[in-house]
Amino acid sequence: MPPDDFEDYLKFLAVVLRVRQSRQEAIFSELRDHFAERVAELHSRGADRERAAALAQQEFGDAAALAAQFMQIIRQRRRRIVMRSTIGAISAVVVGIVVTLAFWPAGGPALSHAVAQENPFSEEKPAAKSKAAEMDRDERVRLQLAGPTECEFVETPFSEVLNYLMDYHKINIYVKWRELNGRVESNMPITMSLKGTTLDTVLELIFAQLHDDLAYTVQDGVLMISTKGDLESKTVVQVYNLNRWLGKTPSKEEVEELIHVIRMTIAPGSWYDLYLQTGCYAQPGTALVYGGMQVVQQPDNKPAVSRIPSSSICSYQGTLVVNQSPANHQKISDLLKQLRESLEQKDGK
Amino acid sequence: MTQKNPREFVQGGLDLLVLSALADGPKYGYLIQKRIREATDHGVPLQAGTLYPLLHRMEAEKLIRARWDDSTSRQRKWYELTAAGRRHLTRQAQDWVRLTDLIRDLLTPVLEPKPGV
Repeated sequence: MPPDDFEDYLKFLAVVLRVRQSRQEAIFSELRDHFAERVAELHSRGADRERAAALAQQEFGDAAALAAQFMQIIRQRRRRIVMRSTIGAISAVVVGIVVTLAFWPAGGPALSHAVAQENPFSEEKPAAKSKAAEMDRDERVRLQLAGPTECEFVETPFSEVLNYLMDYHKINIYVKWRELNGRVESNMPITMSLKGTTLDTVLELIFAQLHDDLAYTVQDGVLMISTKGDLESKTVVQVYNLNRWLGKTPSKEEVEELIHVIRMTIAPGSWYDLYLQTGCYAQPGTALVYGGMQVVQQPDNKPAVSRIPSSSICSYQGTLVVNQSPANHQKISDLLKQLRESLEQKDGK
Repeated sequence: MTQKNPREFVQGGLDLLVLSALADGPKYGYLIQKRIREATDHGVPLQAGTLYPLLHRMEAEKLIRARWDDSTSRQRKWYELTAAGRRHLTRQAQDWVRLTDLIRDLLTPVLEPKPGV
């Protein structure tokens, strides 16, 4: 049996052995080395090359059975990683509970705090709220994103990685598989070993292993994963109670000023009215088409189709009504928080 | 002695053979197989299809560690015992020696019956 037959054996093994290419190549190199050594030994003992190759290959047994054994080892290794990660997560939660209870003021957690936490637009004065009560669902997720995580994945399927991160950080993660349109599959392997890195960095690194077009945002307390285009194109309306966000009720002029600051700071090109004022749509070679899309003539004469910005912002009775993408809502929240801190410092609070 | 079921003992026996083949220094798969074949006078035909999954499992369990040698024309994966592997080997060897002693004590009278019994 010529060595080519052993390559056929490996090819069949490759079909059944569903592991990453590099891992597969490592296994095959090792098997090839053994095969060559064994053939040489049998040949030196008098067997002709073809007989020696046939005997050597026979010793590897059925390719499907061999692949099944390797797959079982890989699955056990993955289970061990998930188990270790789960134990780590449980330990972290237990330590967190113990630390929280140790530093909790006498009397234990009050029910009113818990209620306030569920109601971000509570009429209770912001200054009187505890830090925990101020956290709304999105903020809790964002805090986790900025906090450290710990992971050790060896060719772990993407879905298992997400399950682990959900358990570890106690957050909901939702993947818009339909938007990903088969570009990313739940069984795609992730390999990563990191400690103390923030969750958002870990997510970026995971995305880098899967697809360039992946992104995430936080919406309604859920960490949403989709394509960049999807997350930027869809807008949602959110009402910002300025009294709550800024710690005081701003005057009409201050609200106008704030709107101006937001529009100039957060994604300036995304505001519909600002877009019209700057006359982008009136540039030569630009034409409006149906469905909020425009065609722009590029310098190389190739037309490019893009969406007309549709975000808006206006004020109503001490609130800001904003229609923006979830990612930009997050930026607006951050800006309002920073403004509040700055105002409090200015007022000497 | 550690309580083991028969299947664990068979599995443990193969582990023991591979670990003991590595006790005197690093070896690659083919050399491990050869050493076992020679040491058991061809009595234990540890086939390649059994050996490599077993090596990979023990590597995952950190009983052995591996490194690649690219210095020759062929890539070769060398295995060696870890400290945990050496401890495991010692424990398993003790278990086996105790077991074989017990079985010998049990079977010796069968093979050498005392007169008048």
